[in-house]
Amino acid sequence: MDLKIGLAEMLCNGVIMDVVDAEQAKIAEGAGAVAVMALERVPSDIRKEGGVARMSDPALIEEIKEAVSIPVMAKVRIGHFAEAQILEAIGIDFIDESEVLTPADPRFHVDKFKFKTPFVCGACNLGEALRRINEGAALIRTKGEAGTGNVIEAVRHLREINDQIAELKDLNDDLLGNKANEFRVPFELVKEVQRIGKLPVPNFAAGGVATPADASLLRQLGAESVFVGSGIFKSENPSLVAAAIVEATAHYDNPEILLRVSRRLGKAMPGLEIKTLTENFAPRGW
Amino acid sequence: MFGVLAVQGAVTPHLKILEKVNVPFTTVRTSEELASTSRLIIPGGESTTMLKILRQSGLWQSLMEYKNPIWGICAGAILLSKEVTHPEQPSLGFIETKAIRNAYGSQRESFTATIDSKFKLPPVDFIRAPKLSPLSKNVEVLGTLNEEPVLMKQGRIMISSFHIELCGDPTLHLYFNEI
Repeated sequence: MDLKIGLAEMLCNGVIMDVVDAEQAKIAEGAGAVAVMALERVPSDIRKEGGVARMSDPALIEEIKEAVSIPVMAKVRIGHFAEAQILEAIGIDFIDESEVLTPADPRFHVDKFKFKTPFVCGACNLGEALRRINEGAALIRTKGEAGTGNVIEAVRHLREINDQIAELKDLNDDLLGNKANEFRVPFELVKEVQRIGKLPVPNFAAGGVATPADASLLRQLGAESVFVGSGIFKSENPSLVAAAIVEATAHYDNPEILLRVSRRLGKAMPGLEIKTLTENFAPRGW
Repeated sequence: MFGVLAVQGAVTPHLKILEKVNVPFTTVRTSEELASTSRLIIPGGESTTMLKILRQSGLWQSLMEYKNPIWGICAGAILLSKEVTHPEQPSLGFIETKAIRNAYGSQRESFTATIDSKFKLPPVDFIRAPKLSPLSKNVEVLGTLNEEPVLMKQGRIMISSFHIELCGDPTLHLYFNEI
């Protein structure tokens, strides 16, 4: 198997947590995160503060890498292959080409085959997921709406991808060819999805996860792991919430355990109604 | 019944292989599920995460008392080794080996290689792999890479630092099934 997809497989059934410094990274690792996403501002702050959101200072990422033994990820702007080259030079374990940052290229995403470092990309639907895989993404995540603490968009994207995969099931090759055209990807890729009944890389959920129950919901809908951005360190008790989401992700279909870990976590991050947002991140990229 | 520990990590690739070779299997996330198995795979993933989840549930204690064969892969090998460094962490200690975590480096240093072994294996993946070394003569080395042990066994316990499951090759699953 491809080494990049191999690492994505290792992250399955886990939680990847956004952290802004070494101290938070240690808390995340201690709570059982499978990886941390190193960034300067969590998505809810990016939303609040506005301005152009870019790759974080490499020194910050290096500090975080130094602090933990689990894989470290970091974000680059859509299409910004120079930022990706810098992250590869650091020796980052995974690069997130993320719509949460301000897009850098109006036409192209990063050619991810040129990198030894695996990439994760966001998607709202099957076509978008397959275009990213066709560019070399080793892992797909739903976009959701990052920084809102509102899980509805992640659920929407996950269901959309599931439904579109199910629709391929009985199509003959002519109709599959039409789908490949519609998705703007090679026929073989669509054929492969039809054959295996899932994406050819792991599919994680992200964007709006704030509680253990949110993590369980997405896992039960088929997400193989969960990214939690602002949901942990914008909550009242980050280490409690982090550990609870880890356990809820592992035991996502066990209501007794979900009940136990959901008690007395304190205030979750404040949430946002999607229709009140001044800018939605999900439509960034295509 | 063949069990695959499923609290975290690359579980599905093992299930696919076991399905292919017609071995009855179950995933294991509770002590009750563990009790129904006659051998267990601890898959690759993040050892710190697995440790945390296992110790929060009663599963850690049940594993300590488990007497059947266990095969640990990468993170699983770390959990089974007597000594764990870089950094130090608790383990089940069922095999007299030392595990140095992420000894080859980060993902950039992950690689695919053909190991020296009596088993005919396709090239296998080493992903942020640990280095494993025997601490006792009772540990039998079954595979090496550049003369360093990567596959070994002591009694009912087998460990490997590479991911045979990612290439879908059933050789080691069939061998482990006979231990």
